[in-house]
Amino acid sequence: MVELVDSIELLMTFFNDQAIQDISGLLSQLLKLVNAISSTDLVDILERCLMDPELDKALLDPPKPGLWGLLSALGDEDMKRGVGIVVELLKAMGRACREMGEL
Amino acid sequence: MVATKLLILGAGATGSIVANKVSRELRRDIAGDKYEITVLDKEEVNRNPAGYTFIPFHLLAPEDMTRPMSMVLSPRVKTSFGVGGEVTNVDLANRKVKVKDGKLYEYDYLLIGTGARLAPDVVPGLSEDYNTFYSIEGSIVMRDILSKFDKGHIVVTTPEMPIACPGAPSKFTILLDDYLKHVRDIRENVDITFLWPIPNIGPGVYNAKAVKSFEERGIDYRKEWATKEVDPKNKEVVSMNGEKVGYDLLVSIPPHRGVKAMQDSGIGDDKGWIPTNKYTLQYQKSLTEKYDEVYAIGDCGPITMNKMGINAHFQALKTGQNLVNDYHGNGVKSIYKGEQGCPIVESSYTPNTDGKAYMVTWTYGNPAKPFNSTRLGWLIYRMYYYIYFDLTAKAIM
Repeated sequence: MVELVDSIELLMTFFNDQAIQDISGLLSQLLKLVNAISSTDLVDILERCLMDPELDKALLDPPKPGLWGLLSALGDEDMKRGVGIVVELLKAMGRACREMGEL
Repeated sequence: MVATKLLILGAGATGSIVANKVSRELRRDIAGDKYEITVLDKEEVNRNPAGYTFIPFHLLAPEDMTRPMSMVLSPRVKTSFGVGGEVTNVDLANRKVKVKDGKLYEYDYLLIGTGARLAPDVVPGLSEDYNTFYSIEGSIVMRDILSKFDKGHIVVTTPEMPIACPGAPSKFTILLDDYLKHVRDIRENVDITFLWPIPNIGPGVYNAKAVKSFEERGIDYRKEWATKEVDPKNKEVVSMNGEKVGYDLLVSIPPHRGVKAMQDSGIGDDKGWIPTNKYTLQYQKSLTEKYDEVYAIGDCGPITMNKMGINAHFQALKTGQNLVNDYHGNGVKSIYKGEQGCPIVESSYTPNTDGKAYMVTWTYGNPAKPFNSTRLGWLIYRMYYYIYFDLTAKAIM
């Protein structure tokens, strides 16, 4: 117990107002990520898609589509949805970038 | 389909927390045009007034306490700031809100989080010698004044209650003492007097610590000393019973009032404070005059409710949840139990001292417990200000 208290005392000597300000800057960035993660259904989509059994198979034996394979994959309905999400994600990144630049 | 409309008046702590929480919870309904959130505010910048007390002592920078609105509010929320966000009339019976540029907003649910307004004019003479750290501009001026003040008598006066953050005046006075003693090294040339209008500085245990600190530091404190007027010509403050205290520098915590539009709309009391049910925070002027779709939280609430950041924080999180529950019609209520608190500072962070602080908390049914301020308490308290916008205002917790 005494050792624990002494160890905390030791740790505390490294913490001062400047350290707290620096740690807070780091924490603020992490909190932005926490906010983003807790505020989007993209996390739910990612959770499910990363557990997709077809993806599991592909990871064990990655397919090697050529140009024709890629083009024909674009005809798949799920592929179209995926591309649609990526396109919207890119547009949202552009909007956010513009809005941040206006600040 | 017509979207359910939540209108939020004020983008301060409560408005931001509710907007961010509800927009997160109902994001699918917002995306499907079934729910809509609009925030109105006359300010263009989001501020955290709780940290103003530290600015005069170079412990926080003004920019630490401000953020652009778009850095705080979710992009899922519609906004109008400036004259387009300044509320001029609230019509609860017809569910309509008018703003200064003439635009009319209708709502299904209304959240009033308009805060309090500083009213130095209430005390005769005060506006003519008005120095305060209760505004960001005032705290910057105070920093400049204190960095040049060399000798004389500083009087810190709080003419009347309620005020926002009622622990701030005593906190300011302790920080002032340490600043003059350990940073400026002129404390022996300065007398400090603390004038307080009511018998206690916070709850009993808080009062005991604050008074002990004042006595140990040689700070003259006078309780139940309500300022009636200020005589700027003779540099005197005068109490309700005629007692006079001279000063060289007067630091004032001005009287507070509710926002004028609430007063003018007839929804507040004679000082503009908005009556609510103390547990549900829904508008309730009397047993018969009440509007369950209207919530009023934070500093704008009833005169009987303490006006502190922690209250606002808990009220906003619970009200945000209740607005989600109201929309779903699930009948669940998150009850506000009077969670509140006030940080106490017993020592500042200076070349010769470590900061020491504690967060004293209590609820309607549970009084504040005895405590000891700690160094870790100070560091956590300091950290809170730096992460406020990304933790609290974004309704993470």
